[in-house]
This record gives sequence, C-alpha cells and structure tokens, in this order.
Amino acid sequence: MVKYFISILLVILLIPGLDFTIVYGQNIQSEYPINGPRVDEILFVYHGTPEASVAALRKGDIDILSDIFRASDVNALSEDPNLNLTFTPQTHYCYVAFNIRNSPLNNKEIRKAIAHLVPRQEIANRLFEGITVTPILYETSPTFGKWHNPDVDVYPYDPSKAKEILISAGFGWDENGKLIDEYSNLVGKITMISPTQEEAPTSYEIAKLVVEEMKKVGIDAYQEGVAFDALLTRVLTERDFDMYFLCVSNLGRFPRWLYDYYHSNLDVPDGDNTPGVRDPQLDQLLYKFRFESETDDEAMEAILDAQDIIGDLAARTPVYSRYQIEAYRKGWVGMIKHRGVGYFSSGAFWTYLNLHTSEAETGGTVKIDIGGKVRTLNPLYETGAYGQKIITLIYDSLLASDPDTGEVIPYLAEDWNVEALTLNGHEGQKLIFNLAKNATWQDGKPLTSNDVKFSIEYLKENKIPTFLPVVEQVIEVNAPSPQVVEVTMNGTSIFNLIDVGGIIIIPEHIWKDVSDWRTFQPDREPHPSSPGLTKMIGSGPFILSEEKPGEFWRLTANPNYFKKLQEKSQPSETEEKIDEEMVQQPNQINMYLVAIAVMIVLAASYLIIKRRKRESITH
Amino acid sequence: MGFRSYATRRVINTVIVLIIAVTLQFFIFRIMPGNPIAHFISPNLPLEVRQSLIEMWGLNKPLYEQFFTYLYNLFSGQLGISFVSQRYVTDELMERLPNTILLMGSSTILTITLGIILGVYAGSRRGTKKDVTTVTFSLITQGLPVFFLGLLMLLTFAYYLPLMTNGIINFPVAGTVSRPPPPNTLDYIIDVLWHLTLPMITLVIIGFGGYTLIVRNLMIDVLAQDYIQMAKAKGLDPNTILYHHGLRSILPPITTMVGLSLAGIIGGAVITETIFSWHGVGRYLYEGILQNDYPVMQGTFFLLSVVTIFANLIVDLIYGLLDPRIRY
Repeated sequence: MVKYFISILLVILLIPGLDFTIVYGQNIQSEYPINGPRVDEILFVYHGTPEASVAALRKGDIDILSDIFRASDVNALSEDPNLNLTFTPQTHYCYVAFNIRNSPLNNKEIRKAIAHLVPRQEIANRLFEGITVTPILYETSPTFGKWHNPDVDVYPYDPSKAKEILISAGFGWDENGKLIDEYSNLVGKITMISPTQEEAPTSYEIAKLVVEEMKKVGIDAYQEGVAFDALLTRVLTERDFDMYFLCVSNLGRFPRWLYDYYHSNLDVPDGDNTPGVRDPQLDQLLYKFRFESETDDEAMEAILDAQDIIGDLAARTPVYSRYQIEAYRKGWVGMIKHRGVGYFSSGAFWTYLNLHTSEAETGGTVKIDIGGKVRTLNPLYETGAYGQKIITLIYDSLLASDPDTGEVIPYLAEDWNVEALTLNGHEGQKLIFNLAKNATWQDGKPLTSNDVKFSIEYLKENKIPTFLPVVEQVIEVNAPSPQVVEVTMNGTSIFNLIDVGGIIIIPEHIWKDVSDWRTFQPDREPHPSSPGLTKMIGSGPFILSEEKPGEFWRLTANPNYFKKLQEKSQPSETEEKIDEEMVQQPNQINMYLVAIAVMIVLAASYLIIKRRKRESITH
Repeated sequence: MGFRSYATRRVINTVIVLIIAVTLQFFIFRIMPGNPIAHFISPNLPLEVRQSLIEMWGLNKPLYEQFFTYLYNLFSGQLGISFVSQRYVTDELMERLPNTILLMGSSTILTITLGIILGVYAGSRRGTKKDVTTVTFSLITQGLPVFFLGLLMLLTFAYYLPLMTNGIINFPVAGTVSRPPPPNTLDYIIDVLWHLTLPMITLVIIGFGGYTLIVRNLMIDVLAQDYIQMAKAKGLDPNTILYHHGLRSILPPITTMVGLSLAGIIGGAVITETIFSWHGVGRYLYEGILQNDYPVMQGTFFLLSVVTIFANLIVDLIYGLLDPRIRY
C-alpha cells in the first residue's frame, strides 16, 4: 500500500518538471492602441524592379518586402532559410463585368450562365501557379468580416449548370450549336474587351479563357484587346462594351464601394456604375447604408440585403482576389496582422509601433522596401499606397482602427460622443472629441483642438479632392476648449464618425502660411524655428529625418510621441528570477491542483476497492 | 553665301522647328488614347473627387485656353505642374538631371571612345581575324536586349558575386548612393561611382558596337582613298596616316553622331534606369507617359527638343566651319 502511494506521488511530483513548450502567435495583441515605436529608425528603400527588391532582401540589404506578386519570387523566397513569408487575403478583387443596358446581356439569366462559365480555379492555377491569388465567388469577400453576406447567390464554374440556366430561361441551340433565344433568333454577338497581350498578358489570357468557355456553350463570343487607357475610356466614359475584365484594390474596411458600383446615381459618364444597374430597391438599401444608418446594425442589415440583390443581378462576377504576400528576415518579431491589408504594407500602422528584434525589445533600424514610386509627401495630395506608408507614420488622425475588426478605437481623441441634432428640419449629428492631453507636434508645440478645427476647415475651404466627400458633410467645427472639438455634421450616418475620425490632422502653425497647398512640399522646406526639421511635422510616432527622393526615406522615432513606449529599466538578476517565478507559478499551481485531485480520486478508489474486498470476504 | 548668312539661316530654321515641336508636343499627347483621370479609377476616389481633380488640373477648360496657358508657362520659364505629384516639372527634372547626366554622360563618353578606338582598330585591319572578332563582338553586344543584360549584370555582380565572395565584392543592387549615404564627402563620391559602375558598364556594352561598326566602315572607305595611298607611298608613319589623315577626315560624321547623342545624355535610358533604380530623367518620362501626365511629358519632351535642335544647330555650324564647302 505504501509503495502504491509513493509511486503515484513521485509521478505527480515529476509532472510539473516536464518540459512543455508553448508557442504563442507573434501577432496576438490583446488590446489597441499599443505604445511605441520600439525601433529607433525605419529606412524605407526604393527598388525599381521586383528582381532588385528580391535580391536586396535575400542579400540582407533590407529586412522586409511587401507586395510580392510573382509566383517565381514567392518560390525563390520560400526556399531561403533566413526568411519568413506571410499570405493575407486582401480587399482586392478582379471581376468580369457585363453591360446590362443592351441585349443580350440585359437578360439576367444569360449573365448568370456566363458567370458559371468563368474557370476561376484554372485561372488561379494556370496563370498564377495557384500561389499568389485565390479564386473568389463573393464580391464582398469574407475579408470584410461582419459586412460579408455568405448567403448570396454565387456562380461557381459549372458549364452544365450554365446550360441548365439557359434552357430554363427559354434558350436553345440551333443545328450548328449556336445559342438561340425563345423565338429561335440567334443570340447576338458578345465582345469581351481586355487590355492587350503586350500590356497585360494575364488579363488578356483570362478574357481569352472566358471567351473560349462561352463559345463552348454556343455563345457568339469574341475577345478584343485594347490599350489600357482606351479600355478605361470605353468602360468608364463611353460605356462602349459588352463585357470587360478589370481589378480593383484597397477597397477599405467597409464595402462602401458597393454604393459607387451599383447606385443609379453613379450610372453617369465617368461614374463607377459601369454595368448600368438601376434598381430602386437596391438604390434605397445602398443609400441607407452609405448615408442614413445610425448604427452598425442598421448599416449591416442594409448592406447584407443589398448584397443579396447584387448577387441575384449578376452584373459583375468576381474571379479572383490577390493575396498580400510579404517576406521578412527571421529575427524580427512583433508584427501585427491587419485584416485585408497584411503585416507591413500601407495601412499596417500597428506593426510599425510594435516591430522589434527577438534579441532586443527596443532599438535598432529596420530596412523596408517601399514597394513603388512615392509621388509626393504632401499629406493632402498623396493618395498612392507607397507615399501613404510614410505619411501615416508621421501624421495622425483623431481615431484609429482595430487591425482585426476594423472598429474605431481611441487615438488622438481619447474618447468621443455622438449627439443627434435637427438642423433646419434635417437630421444631423454633433461629434464631440476629447483630445489626449499629452499630444504634441514633432517640433514640441502642443497639439490642441484649434489644430483639429484648422485641419477640417482647411480641407473644406480648399476643396481638397481626396477629402471632399468627407468634409462636404461638415457644417461647423468648434473648439470650446484646448482639448475638446465639436464637429457638426449633416446626416446621421455611422460613417460620419469614421470619416471625421480618419481625417489627417495638420499643424496650424505650419500650414496657415502655406500659399498654395497643391505645390507645397513640406519635406523639402526647412522648419521655420527647429533646426534639423522640415515642415513635414506631424504628431505621429516617426519623424522624417532624411530623404533622397526616389531612393530612400529615413524615419526616426519621435521622442515627443504621445503614445511613447515607457522607458524600461534593465531588470536586475533578482527581478528576472521573480519574473520567471511569476510566469511559472500559475502553471505549477495548476499542476499541483491536478495532482491533489488525482491523489484524492486514487485514494477514494483504493478505499472503495478495499471496502468491497472486505465486504466480499465477510459475505 | 558666306558663313554669317549660312549661320543666320540655320538659326531661323532652328527657331521655326522649335515652335513646331512645342505645338506638336501639346496636341500629340492630347490625341493619345485615354486621359489622366482614367488612372484614378480607385473606388476610394469617387466621381466627385475625379471631377474635382479635372478642375484642379485645368482639363475642363477649352483646348485653346490650355494651349495658351502652356505657352505662357513656357515663356515664363515654367514647364507646368505634374498632375501626379503636384510638383513643378522643372524642379522634378532638375532633381533627376544630375543623375542622368552622370550616368549618360560617362557612359556616352566611354561608348564613343571605345567605339572609335575599336572602329579604327578594326577598319585598319580589314579582313584579319582581329577585324572579324571585333565586328562579331560588336554585332553581338549591339543586339543584346538591354533589359536582359541589365538584369544579368544586376544578378551576377550585385547578388550572386557578393554571396559567393562573402560580401568582399559587393556591387549595389539599386540606387545612385548607399541607403543611408556615407557622411564623409570623399566616401560619398566613391560610393556614387561604385553605384555608377554596373549601369554604366551595361550602357557601354550595349552602345559601343554601333559606333565601332560605323567608324570601321568610315575608316575602310577613307583608307581606300587616293590621298592615303599617296601618304603611304610617301613613306609616312602608319600611325600618322591612320590618325592624322584617316581619322581626321571622318570627324564630321562622327561629330554628327556625337551631336545627336547629346539628347540621349539628357533624355536618359529608361530601361537601364529602371533596372538599376537610377533616379533619372528617362524613368521620369516613362512614368509620365504611362500616367498621361501631360505637363511631365510636355516638359521633358520640350527639354529634349531644345537639346536636340540646338545640338543639331551647333553641329551644322561646326560643319560650316570644318568644311567651307557646306552652305546648304
């Protein structure tokens, strides 16, 4: 009996000593915003070709490379033992669109049949080696999280289903196998335009594959390769097409583009409603989503219903979505996954606050490929993804967004309040923001509500194109105290808060003297009072300290950053031990609790067995 | 007709050509398919934003009004504001011009020098193995696609060689200078020259063959002339015959070639600049064309036109001085 207990006890006591390795995902972050930055410097470097970028990464000239789009590069980089690769679904998609104004594509059923004829998997495998893109069936993909409706009509590749649809819609085939309508008339010729083979070989091949599939079911289909510029003019301005193939990227966190793509207001020359959709019910839902929803639930209900109608209309059919493929040198940790964006590309703000090496929590320089041409660093004009990589690290906005859910979260504004208003008989909103007290500009001057008021009014007065849709809804901005901003808005849309919260905040003391905002190049002009700085002054985590346009941009950590990482003192040996114990203690307590429980169960079992034996002997 | 009259006529002709070039530059780009706004098809830039951009760029104004604005800008020393970057085209050109002049200037000088030396060498040894080898080598290098050679140079010398030599020989992958550049001036100059090496060699390899073949043919023609035979009969030193009598008489066509290559020095080399991430005028023009950035295209072509037309004028005037018979 004693032996029995001792052996059990030994096993139980040894269990906590066993070596368990628990690997935590390095992108897990419990709460935002986090403080930073951890690195001392970021060096953004330009390379003219993908070959140069890949060579620079493999050679060790740079640490991080985003926007990898060639399967051959992915293969080469994945073989490098010093690199890690990440794949993130993007808010990007390529689609085939139909001109629904004219026969025969004004017939919904023939559009649905053609949608079933798009060989998405073949396209992904044959043209992208099954690596860089993923076939998609949803226009609003699951990348959009809760805004994605999984129950809409989808049209996977299925030629027999396409034929079924055509038959049930009254179509048939003549003796030559050509498609005829219910009155036995040949269905008209359908031409699909795509960029030329020389300009965009992949797009050309995709159009060719779709046209071949259409011909197989008797549709009189043709392909026409046209210069990209001419294609855009024919599609966007002249509406001179039957079908076309194009891609769009950076669709944002919310499916707001659906309004532009499907509302009848945008079925005008240069409007994005290229297919010519005019559906009053869809209009109503899209308008409600875009301008009238006061809560997330209302907006969600409207947009999910709208997606149902869009799916049934089949005016565009999605083909594939591109992954954001990124590579980084092993040894860098702390990167954070941003839904629909990736880890390092434009918009992956939190990564740059948290990025550091596995050897040191802070310090060091990270060298990153900028990805493409930086056109200008004027924050009011640059809309390109590459310039934005730099600008978003220098300038701030009132609110930030959660990298996973996309929900707005406090940033320059520590909290906010939305009040309903009635303005001359119309509904409106007052957005009240309370600013962080310790926020300063990079030249040391305090950031106050006057700067926020100035920024919004400056954008509105100068009719700055990129911000026009946002500031047009602004009626008035007030700064009742240095830390409080009140913005009165037209309408009650949930996007009022998101849009105003996302406006870039510029320093009044710099911008008030700018004579022409368009040609102002803040990075090229010296700061009026702080030597060593330029007029590129924001409140963000990094300062532009050096640049050679077209070559590199050096950003150094902002010592005045309002969310600066607290200085960490080097822990002493004793402290380290304490830390270690604190980490191990909960595990050991758990293990001992389990051990005690096991002992009790075993003891009870032993007693029960012994009692039964005694009882059997007695009987 | 005297030289003064000849020179006056050439200058007047030059001015007329320049006016025609300036006018064509404005209209040709607008006839091209597509428009600059078509590149702003991102759904993040809705219709109202695009319309606002059209107004901002002045594209909503009548064509004649745009033309007069363009002429006014030219006469006031401006080349307009880039649609894409909103920077003055003059500023952007001036930022890139030193890099392009450095790359194209150095490679052009080396290309012409090498081409003349090899051309004279092969031409004076017509039919020998040395001649055949030079001609073959020139034909091969001249026919090499620049993107192929550029990438080959980049991968061999900037990627594989550093890996194989453990970084001892380490040519840069990109740029005109290290990122970040060395703080010391002397180190900076050496660093720039180090970055210049691969693109310059690429351009020289691609370019010298053409000059070699032309100079060789010219030399063969010249060396068959009676006055050369006379010089040989007189027992003159072969080098004197070759360089003093032979080369000197083919200088006018060589001058034309050099004159025409001046525009290339300013215009840059699109593919080489792209492969080696060289921040130059060639890439700027190429990107301007891709994006229908009218001011960039107009400004760059204006600069190229001016250089080409004036280089031609200078060449014509030098011709007139070199050979008094030329008075067309």
